Amino acid sequence: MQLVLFQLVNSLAFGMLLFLLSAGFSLIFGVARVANLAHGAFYVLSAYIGYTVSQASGNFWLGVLVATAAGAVLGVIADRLLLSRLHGQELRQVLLTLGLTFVISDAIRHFWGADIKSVSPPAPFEGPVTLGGLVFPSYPFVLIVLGVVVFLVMRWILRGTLAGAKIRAVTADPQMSGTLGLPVLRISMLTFAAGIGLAAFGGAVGSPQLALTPTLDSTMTLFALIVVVIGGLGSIEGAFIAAVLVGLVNGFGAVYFPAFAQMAVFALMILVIAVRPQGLLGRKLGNA
Amino acid sequence: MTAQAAPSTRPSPLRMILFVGAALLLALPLLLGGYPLYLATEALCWAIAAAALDLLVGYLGLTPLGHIAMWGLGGYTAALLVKAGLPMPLVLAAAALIATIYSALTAPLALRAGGIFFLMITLAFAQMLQALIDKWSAVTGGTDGLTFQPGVDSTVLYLITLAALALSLFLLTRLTRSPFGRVLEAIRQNEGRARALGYPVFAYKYGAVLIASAFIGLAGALGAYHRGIVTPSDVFWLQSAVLLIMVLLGGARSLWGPVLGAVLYTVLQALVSSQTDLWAGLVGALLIVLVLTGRGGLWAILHRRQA
Repeated sequence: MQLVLFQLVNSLAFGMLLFLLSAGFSLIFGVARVANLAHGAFYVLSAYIGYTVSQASGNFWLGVLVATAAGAVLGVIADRLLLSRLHGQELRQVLLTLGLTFVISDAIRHFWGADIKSVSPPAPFEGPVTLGGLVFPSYPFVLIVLGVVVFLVMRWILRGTLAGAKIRAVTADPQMSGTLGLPVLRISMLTFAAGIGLAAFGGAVGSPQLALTPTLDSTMTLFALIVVVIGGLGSIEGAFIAAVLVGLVNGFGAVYFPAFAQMAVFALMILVIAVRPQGLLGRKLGNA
Repeated sequence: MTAQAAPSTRPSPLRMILFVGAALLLALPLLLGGYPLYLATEALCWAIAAAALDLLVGYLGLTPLGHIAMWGLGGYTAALLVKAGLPMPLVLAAAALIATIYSALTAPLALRAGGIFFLMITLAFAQMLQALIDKWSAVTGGTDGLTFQPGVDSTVLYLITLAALALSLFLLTRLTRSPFGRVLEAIRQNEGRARALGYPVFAYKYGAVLIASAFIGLAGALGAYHRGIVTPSDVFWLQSAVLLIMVLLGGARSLWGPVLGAVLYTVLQALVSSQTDLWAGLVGALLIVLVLTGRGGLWAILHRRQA
């Protein structure tokens, strides 16, 4: 029982990290139609930046702040400098982000080395907590709360604000939105800032949960792809549900059939798209 | 993206260069041995896979990111069958067959999803295969991979690989110039119109994927013979990207482009990675530059100069 609950908490915490990662991926794909294969690389790069700032300043949350800002800036740079030149050319954009993956992970290896960096949780959360007589590490709860809060805020922005309405309009039909006078390019730029910023935030707050290695990037990109394909592109709710599902399958898979946990996650994805090719909550996207 | 120019009947200077090049390739093992011969064989294996992949990328306009699975399956099939004592022709045929069966099972789901999802789903299947190879150590040797004695002399293997490349290019060229190939181009240029004209678009795509898979499987098997070892890292998804880079580096508009790209990439990698650890970063930067500036790759540049 202890083991099951312990694994449940850890799996949900991992699911929240996956949500932070893939919500941004989904946003960017929805608005700019870019399948950002460098998403995991940005996640890890930001995590390393956060780690370095935390170490230097002694303040974990300052590291998170700087990492998130750095992610947002990197997102805008990638969009303005590289991806916007290939506007509408899906394949070339994908290849460009692949190129970015190689560059970023080599840069990480160069600057931070190939050894594993483990980060300890920030001050009040480094120890265990006792719940109903059972002892849990406390930091996973922080991640769960952060994930749910970000989900609710994003949902409110997308559904309840004018900015959200614009983002949804561009996601539904970029050409029509442009024709109707929406500043598609600026919206795309802000989406990149928000999307990569979210991944960066996830990377920084996730570093105490997942130790940092230079090869984490390709793993995280794969997870982002899986979550988004399962959840359905362009749907934040879909991304949230899928992230939780993938987190649980991955976490419990690792306990009960360790050899095939990764395969179970892929099997889940294949099962979902075999039944619903557009994903759990996905709609058919215009021009996709 | 215009259609490929009609092939001229009179021998162009480029063709002459090709023939001289072919003669040189044949004589290569007599001129050099050891590491250069090793590199040459490596390049030829990749060239077969890249040319086959180009059937999908350049002619059909479909981009997978899981083609390394077919290469890996070919390689593991070869390793296991060589260990079992099967003769080479049978091993190569089995490798091509297994790779084709893999695609026959996985491609329908990816093709049905289409577009950018095709890329993602082929990638997911390949990654699943990698996980399987990695974990099923009783058969695959796990992370350590499988080492085996290929039982083929390196010069002989070079010549066999060269012959396999020549045969592959011959068959693929015949295919792209056949009515089948024309339909693939029609699908690339306007899928809706091809469908409206009554072509069974899905069947054509499926057929093209299966054909490409067979050749990639063959290339993977030759690669395994060449290295004498197969490991799960051969099947890692970024290797799919490398194969794609070869196609784009050389140019996707002709089958010779990917061949050129494969050779160039292999040589470049050998030269640069002996100098610096940042090889992967340079490949990435190269890919970014290619994507931003390249229109048709090196082969097209050579062609234009010649015209």
